[in-house]
Amino acid sequence: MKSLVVKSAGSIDWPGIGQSAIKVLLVGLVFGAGLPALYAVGLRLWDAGTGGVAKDGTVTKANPLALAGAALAFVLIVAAVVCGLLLVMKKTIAHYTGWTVFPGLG
Amino acid sequence: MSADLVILTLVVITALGFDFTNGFHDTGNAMATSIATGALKPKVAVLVSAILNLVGAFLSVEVAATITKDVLKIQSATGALTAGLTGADAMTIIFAGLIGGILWNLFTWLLGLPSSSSHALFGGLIGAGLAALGTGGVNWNGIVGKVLVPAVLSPFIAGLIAAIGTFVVYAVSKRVRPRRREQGFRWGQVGTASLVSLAHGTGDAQKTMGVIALALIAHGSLTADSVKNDGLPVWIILTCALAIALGTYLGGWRIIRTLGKGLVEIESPQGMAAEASSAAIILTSSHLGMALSTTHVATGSILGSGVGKPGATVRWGVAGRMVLAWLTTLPAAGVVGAACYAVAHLIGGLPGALTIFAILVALASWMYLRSRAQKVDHTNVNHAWDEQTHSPTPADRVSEPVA
Repeated sequence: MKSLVVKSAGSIDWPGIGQSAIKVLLVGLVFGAGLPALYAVGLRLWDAGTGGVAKDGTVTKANPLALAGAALAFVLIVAAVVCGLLLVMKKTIAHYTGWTVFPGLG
Repeated sequence: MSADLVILTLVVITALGFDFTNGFHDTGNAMATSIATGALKPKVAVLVSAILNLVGAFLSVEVAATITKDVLKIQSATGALTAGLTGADAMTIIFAGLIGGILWNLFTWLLGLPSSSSHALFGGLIGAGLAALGTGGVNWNGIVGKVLVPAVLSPFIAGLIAAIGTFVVYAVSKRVRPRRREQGFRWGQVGTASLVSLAHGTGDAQKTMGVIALALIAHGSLTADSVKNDGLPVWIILTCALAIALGTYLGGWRIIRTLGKGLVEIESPQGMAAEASSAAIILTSSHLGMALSTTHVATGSILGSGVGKPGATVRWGVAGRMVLAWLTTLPAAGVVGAACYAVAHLIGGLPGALTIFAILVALASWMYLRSRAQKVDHTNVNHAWDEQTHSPTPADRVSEPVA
């Protein structure tokens, strides 16, 4: 079993792995939990904004401000998703069109 | 047709076969929650997922031509074969590794267990590499750092994100009228599941493309430089995209059932939170320096959505069986890969390659026939989970014993 150790080239980059894991967790929290939360906020505003008979039986008027808030939430979500897809496709886009989508990211 | 070319053809066919199993093994990662909650009809779900996998396969030109370098030492940094390794040996290693991957994928599918297709492929390659080159041919640090550690971390990361997402989503949407809430979250589910499908096509089809490219490089009909400069030949991209999409459309119903019904009884807000967590991680993790397996992430997310919903029950026993399958994937696929390499090497040349191909076809057919005896398909995928046996086959489909 000695050869296992001797023949391994280089060593495992533990700090690098740790950093990557934390980055994945943080980015995941922002997009993977943050966006669903925003979507739920949008749904709630939309529900409040359209008025009618609420869950507890009270009748409410339509609220344009809440509806606008809902629209904003949904637009933000779509924008975030589009950015995410462009990020994944950035090399393909650069390859076929020469457009650098995120200049800072290489 | 020379013997080399016949072997190359068999390897390419086997690689596409692996891609196909990769497709149906992973349909559930994207679509199980949408099918379970009724957000999408089963047949519609697999069709949508298949189309998005097809599109996804064309989305990224980043070629995984150095696919084996994390686990083996048979490629240099550019993707060319390392010095001292003959093309024929490299081709046999790839061939045997692919067979190990396919057979393990089929076996876990038969048991309805979502295990990682990447791990199955890596396991097969490691086994074949060990048999061919000994321990010196294996990149142990790469296996630990790039395969094992991410595999251990991913379900926890995905689970935590999905649990927080689920908790917040329920808290925020508590007062929304039930019908509107259900409708809203079903749309959210369809959107997030679509993203997971797209990400899957982008990431997983690349692996097979890389394996086929490596086989062509080993054969001498493609050079690592030409891949670097001009990308892959279009036929490789096209066939890999089609194979993974066809596999996805076939739908691994047994695995969809375990993921959608077995782990947690899923409601649409949970489904959306789970798929959002999966989509976010799968799309970004490789850019952040840690490529995570779709399967481990998706399973972690679904478990997390059960943990995050107050009052939900998670069937930890079913999760435990999955973890067992994950732990055994690398060694089991490795044993098959090593055995296939040994057989091919002992017989040698074209007869050796034909023999292991015949073994693959025979065992794959056997498992397919076994699956037909206790069929899970789009008609019974959502039937109640059997709390006694935890079998992926619904109780009402188990054939009656003959008197």
